[in-house]
Amino acid sequence: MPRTTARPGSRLTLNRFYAAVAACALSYLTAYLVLLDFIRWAGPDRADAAALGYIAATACLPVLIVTGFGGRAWRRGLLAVGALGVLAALGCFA
Amino acid sequence: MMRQTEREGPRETLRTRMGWLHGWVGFLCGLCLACIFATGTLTVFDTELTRWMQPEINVNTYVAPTDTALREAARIVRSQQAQGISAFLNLPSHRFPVLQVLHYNGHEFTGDILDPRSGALIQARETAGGKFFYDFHYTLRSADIGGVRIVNILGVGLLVAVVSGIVIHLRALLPDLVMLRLSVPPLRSWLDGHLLAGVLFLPFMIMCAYTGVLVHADRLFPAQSAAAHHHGGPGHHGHGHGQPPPDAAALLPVPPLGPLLAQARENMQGRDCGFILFAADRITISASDAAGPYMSRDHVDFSLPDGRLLATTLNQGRVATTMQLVRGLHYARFAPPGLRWLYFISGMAGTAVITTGLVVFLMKRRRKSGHLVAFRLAEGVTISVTAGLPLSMLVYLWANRLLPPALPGRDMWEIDLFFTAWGLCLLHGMGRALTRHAASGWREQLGGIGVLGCGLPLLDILTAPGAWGACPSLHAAVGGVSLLAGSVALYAARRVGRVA
Amino acid sequence: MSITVSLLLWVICLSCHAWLQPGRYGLPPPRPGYRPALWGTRLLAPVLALLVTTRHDAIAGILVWCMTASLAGLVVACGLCFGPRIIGTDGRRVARERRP
Repeated sequence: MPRTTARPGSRLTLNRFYAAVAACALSYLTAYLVLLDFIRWAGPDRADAAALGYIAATACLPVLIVTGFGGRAWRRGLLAVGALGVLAALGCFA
Repeated sequence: MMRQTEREGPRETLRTRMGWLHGWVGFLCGLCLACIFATGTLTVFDTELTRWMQPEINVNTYVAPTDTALREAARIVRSQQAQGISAFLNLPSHRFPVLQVLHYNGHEFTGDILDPRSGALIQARETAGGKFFYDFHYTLRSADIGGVRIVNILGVGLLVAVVSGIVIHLRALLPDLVMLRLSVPPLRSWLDGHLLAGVLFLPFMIMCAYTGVLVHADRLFPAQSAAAHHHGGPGHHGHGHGQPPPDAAALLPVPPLGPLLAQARENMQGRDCGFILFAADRITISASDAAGPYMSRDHVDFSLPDGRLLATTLNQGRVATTMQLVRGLHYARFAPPGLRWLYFISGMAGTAVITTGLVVFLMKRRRKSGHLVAFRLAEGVTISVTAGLPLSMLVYLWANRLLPPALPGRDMWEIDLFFTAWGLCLLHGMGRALTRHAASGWREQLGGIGVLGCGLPLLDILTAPGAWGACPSLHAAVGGVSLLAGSVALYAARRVGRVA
Repeated sequence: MSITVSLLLWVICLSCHAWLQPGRYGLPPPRPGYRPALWGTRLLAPVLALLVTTRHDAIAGILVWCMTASLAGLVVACGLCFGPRIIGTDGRRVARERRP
């Protein structure tokens, strides 16, 4: 764990907090859409499709959160996760 | 980019952002995750703990249940079902070599214990045993108010902390693999300990967190139609505890179970049978969880009253098998004793990673925020998690030996004493931290662990001398671990005094 | 038995790993001729451990292999930390606290 450089109560901390909340919400939505994609596209056996979807969504979620939060310019990270979410939504509802 | 740098200061890098995420997610989730990891670690030996907590059980080696015993067990199951209890029969295993007529009480599977040779009831003391830690591990003792979901969210928090921790430490991950320095300033030593255990046990922690979340992924991503298919088989965690009891009038008599067990074993490719569910007009014999790393819930159905084979359900297919392996790896019920000890040691190390992380988080902020009430409250909670929880676990074991064996509702007494002790530890830790005597709080609670831990083997010898003679390895193992925990705590208490 | 062997092999492997970075761990630098041997041992010991552990059961074997690696790391780290203080080959005390 490296030294945290944020000053307590600073704008930086607030920005980080908002970025973390946004990354969590967007990542959860994206992971959920990935699960629905699997259920829709993975074949006739819905049980297997759901299980595969859970495997993928559970693996994706933490990585998406870290990606969404961690981009040096954090909006880029959120944009990347958002773009993935849009793709997943297209797969799900198209 | 330039505008952002001006607004957020010059030192905002990927590493600092990850450090912030790792620190805060790690601390906030870590307070609960430490408890989840610690109880999960004890759950590796839940059956053995239950045996230790019921010294009246005098069956120590596995024997196949006799026809008489099975008949008596079936009779008890049916009589309990007639009273509206969803009872089932758990078969003897090498880890717990007795017949058990169990039902789900909302937290654990509990019930009568029968001798597998004669079918006689064994008058063992009432206790939740190791199953209490199992229930706490995956529900935080609050399954009815979404405890499983909370644990799952915390599991994702652990994965986020792990991934961000890897990003932070990526460059030194391999070179510093075995780096531990105790002769440097305390913060650096604690950080070294955190990194050492964190990196070395990284595969184990990722495996446990990922499989743990995946086992209950339907609580995290509630896709109802999918979940309905996802959990095929009778009862995901246990043994069909959600089933309503069959109507008493419709209960058909049960034929001799011995031949049915033999046929079930044959139909399930020679795997041992684990438990038997009794419906009104059929019985279901399921494979034992200890039969292999794939926790399959494969089962064979027989009709009643004639015992005719109805169906054999083998959950196969690549995805189903993968999920079975995920469950098998997490529950580790297939593991032989050596591997189970490795799980136990790794679980202890995982708990140490989380608790050292909590301490490092506080140490780094003490100079700047040590005067704040919020900081002191956080320190009090950390004391009660890190030292108070093991202390309460030992109180639970002491209560098992000191409460009268025939006390009505003694299982709840034990659990109440556990939570009372933990609550007192929380109050004590907070009191000490708020009055700026956090070091005393640490020392006193660690001292408590030392006294109770070192005293447990002695108490065990004094209160259950017969059990020591009958099953020495089990009692020596429990006594040895508690003695070790007590000694380490006493050493730590001395060090805290010196450092403070 | 396989647990013990695997643990031992991992201890050897990680000891070699530490010795290949003498400055970082405050160990005497290995002679130049020893370095290839240390590299080889660091590579071979885990492979051998994997063969030993997966002989009977692949899944349990891989679990044992991973967990003994972690445990061996703790053993080596404690050995390096609590072991006798080591003097560099030039006769001076090696700085054990050095970190990049």
